[in-house]
Amino acid sequence: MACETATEAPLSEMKPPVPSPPATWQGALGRGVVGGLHTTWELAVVMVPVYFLVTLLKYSPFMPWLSRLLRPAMGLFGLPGDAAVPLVGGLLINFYVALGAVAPLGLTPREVTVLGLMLVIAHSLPMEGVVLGKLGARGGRITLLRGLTAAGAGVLARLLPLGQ
Amino acid sequence: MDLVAVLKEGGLGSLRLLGQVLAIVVPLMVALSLLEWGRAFERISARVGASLGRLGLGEHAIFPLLVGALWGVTYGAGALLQAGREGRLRPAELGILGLFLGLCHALIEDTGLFALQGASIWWLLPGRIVVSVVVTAACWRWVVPGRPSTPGDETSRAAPAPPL
Repeated sequence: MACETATEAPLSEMKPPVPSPPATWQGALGRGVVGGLHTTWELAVVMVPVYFLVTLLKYSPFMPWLSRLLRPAMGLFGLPGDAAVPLVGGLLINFYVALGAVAPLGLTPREVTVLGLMLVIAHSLPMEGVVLGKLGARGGRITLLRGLTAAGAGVLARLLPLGQ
Repeated sequence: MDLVAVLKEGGLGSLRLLGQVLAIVVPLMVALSLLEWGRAFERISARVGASLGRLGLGEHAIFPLLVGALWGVTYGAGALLQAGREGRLRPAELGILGLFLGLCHALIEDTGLFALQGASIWWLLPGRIVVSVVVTAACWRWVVPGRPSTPGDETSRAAPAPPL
């Protein structure tokens, strides 16, 4: 939620620990709606430009070339070469870049499921790794394990009866 | 390449994506805000805290676990930071929580957003949880901070509690 969007802000401005709970249910409702709209706006700023860029990329001569280039690697997960765009964007930047990039590609439900499984496990790796490190956890090792787990899950997902 | 067609597809597509994000994020923020108002997380952690000791997690680790699983690492980090600052988390707990939450956070939001793109929620959510539990169980000793542990290093199991 605000979690991922807060990743845009420098860590020194990280939100304070859990805010004090709202006093009334009306207050809670209001805070939820305002927070939801605010978060959606922050995501929109990321997703809409990415959506346009990937749509442009999709119709450019660059995409077939990129797709062919990455087909062997993405084939490990049973994914087409184009799926590398949301995968790499999600791994290195954040989940919302991936979301904006996956939407225009027209992947099959099966492909979106495999890609989704990999991306929910591993996304925003540099930023979340730093956050984990700041917490006193071993950010580097955890990040490495997330990457390996996502790759493993992607390979395993080929064996699952996911349909088309 | 027809630029007008690209702009139209990008515009309409990103609007639809934004609508979907709004439909997930606003209700989720409202629900979480209402849960906060009802102090649901405190109640749940008080109730299940003791019984989760078997996982190597003390009762002080349950609140950050719940917040992180639902909200995400950066925001849930607030709860973790607070628990860490108050010296309530042992290194082993920090390793377990950091790794598990690294793999498995913002469950509802991440899953919902990808499900809207056509992914199967029935693979995404259980798949992520199962994979995260297995990897955490197998590798947590390797990510316990403060000591050069290796996978299977039994000594880190007996990490001493920090002074309160």
